[in-house]
Amino acid sequence: MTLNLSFVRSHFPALQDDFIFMDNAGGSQVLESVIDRTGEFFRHHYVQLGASYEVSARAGVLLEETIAELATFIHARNPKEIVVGPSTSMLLRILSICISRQWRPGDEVIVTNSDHEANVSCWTDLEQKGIVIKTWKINPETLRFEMNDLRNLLTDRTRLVAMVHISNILGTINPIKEVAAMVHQAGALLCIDGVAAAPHRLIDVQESDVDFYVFSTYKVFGPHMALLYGKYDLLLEMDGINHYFFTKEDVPYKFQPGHINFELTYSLGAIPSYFTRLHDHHFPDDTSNDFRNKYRRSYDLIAGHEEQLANQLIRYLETKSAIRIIGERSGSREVRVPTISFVHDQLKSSEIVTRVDPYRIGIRYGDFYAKKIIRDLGLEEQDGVVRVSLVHYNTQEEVVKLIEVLEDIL
Amino acid sequence: MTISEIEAEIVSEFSLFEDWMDKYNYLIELGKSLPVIDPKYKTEQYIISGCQSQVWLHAEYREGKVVYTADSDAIITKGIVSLLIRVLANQSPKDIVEANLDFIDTIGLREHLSPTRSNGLNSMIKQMKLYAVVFQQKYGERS
Repeated sequence: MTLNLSFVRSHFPALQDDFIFMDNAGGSQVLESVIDRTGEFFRHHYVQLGASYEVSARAGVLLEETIAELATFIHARNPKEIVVGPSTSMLLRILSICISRQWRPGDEVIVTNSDHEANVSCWTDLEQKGIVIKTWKINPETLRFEMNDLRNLLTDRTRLVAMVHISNILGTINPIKEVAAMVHQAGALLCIDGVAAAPHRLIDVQESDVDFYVFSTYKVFGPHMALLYGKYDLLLEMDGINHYFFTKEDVPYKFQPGHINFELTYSLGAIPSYFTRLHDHHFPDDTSNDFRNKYRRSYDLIAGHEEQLANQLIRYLETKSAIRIIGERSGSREVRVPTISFVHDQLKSSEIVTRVDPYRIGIRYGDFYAKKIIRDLGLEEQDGVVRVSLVHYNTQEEVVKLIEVLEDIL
Repeated sequence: MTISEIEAEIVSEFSLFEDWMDKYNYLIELGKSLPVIDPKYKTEQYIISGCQSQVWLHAEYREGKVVYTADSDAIITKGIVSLLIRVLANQSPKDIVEANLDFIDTIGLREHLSPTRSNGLNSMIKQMKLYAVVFQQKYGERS
């Protein structure tokens, strides 16, 4: 069974044009059904929530339903474990402010040098409060994390480890379940930035047993928003940052000052439904009622297709002696997603990308706010890496087009 | 069981829930027991118009009773369809047509009824009753 690309692409209005979108780790294209739901909310339910009149009560129910669907989508135990916010950076900042109120000077947080700053700065800023920050670095040879290095960093003062599920530069999948086990054994918590993972792998917060997991919905075919999952008991025991009259029991409202964006939150309901539709299109005879299984099978199809795309591009890049892939040199779905970065011996990354621009292919260069890894790998002077970030709606023909262009300009 | 007996059972189940979180978890669970529509009926013809999510409904007449099957691509919606089918399935067309479905108000599902596009519950009930009306006319003397 392979992914039906014309079925997939028919769900994305922007893909009806001939522009090739390969900066999807920056932001993916949006589903037509997301646009529809946003418009529907504006047209029919656009009132303040919490009032007793009919339209307000109904709008509240629609949002509750949506959050409940999203909870199932990531396998949260209950909808209250979902905090909605404007961005991953903002949600992690809120989390760091709230959770650190329980900490004392001398307590420790471990960050990595492979993360986007969203899951770094909010923790390193706590040094002002006397929190000790340690950095878990990837092995510069293998570009992988060593579990032993983490073991050596953990102490009885470690309160939290902040780590990226999949690097937005390397595309490598980190073993978060294994990390969670080690971190928990040390009595600490694990906070995962899943932004670069969510478009490619089905999130399962229970299976991985992470304590906090954050991702941005605008990279998962939705609007510019983000969701934070937190284990309920952990969210409950924290103070929030909302008005004084909100109590500890007001989970998740105490973490959502100014309330959430109603219309965009409502639009998010289209994302799980899209994965259901993908499943039902490809497996019409599977009439089970298990939505998680439907999502899983859809993501399996996606991973298979993305693996082909990644292998196609990596095989080409490997033939160019001047090019060095920054990350795994395999497209295998076991080790990576199709977020593929590379550098060139003679050309700056910026030069390559600006030469590609006229061909109407959207790729990108830079550090992608994962500044430490670019610094530690010595790639700052060449303007960071060239990043080609594919998702399941990209086609093999599009990758061929990119390869032809690279062949012309390099 | 009669329709009103099943309604009373559902009202009693929903009275156990303290907040919406429990209610939705219960609806999600209910969705898992939905009698799923044969894939050959998952076509435009069987989509209930007026639902924001896609909902397909099919009904058959068997030995004086109406047998419903359905599906939806949204989890909560599926739970709600499942709830309606639990109340109306295997009842006579006459009883289905005459059912008041007061339980909807009692358990707080009224908010799902709306004059707008997302009048999903309303449309579902209408479609389920429409099937019953058709069967009543067709097999009237036996119902």
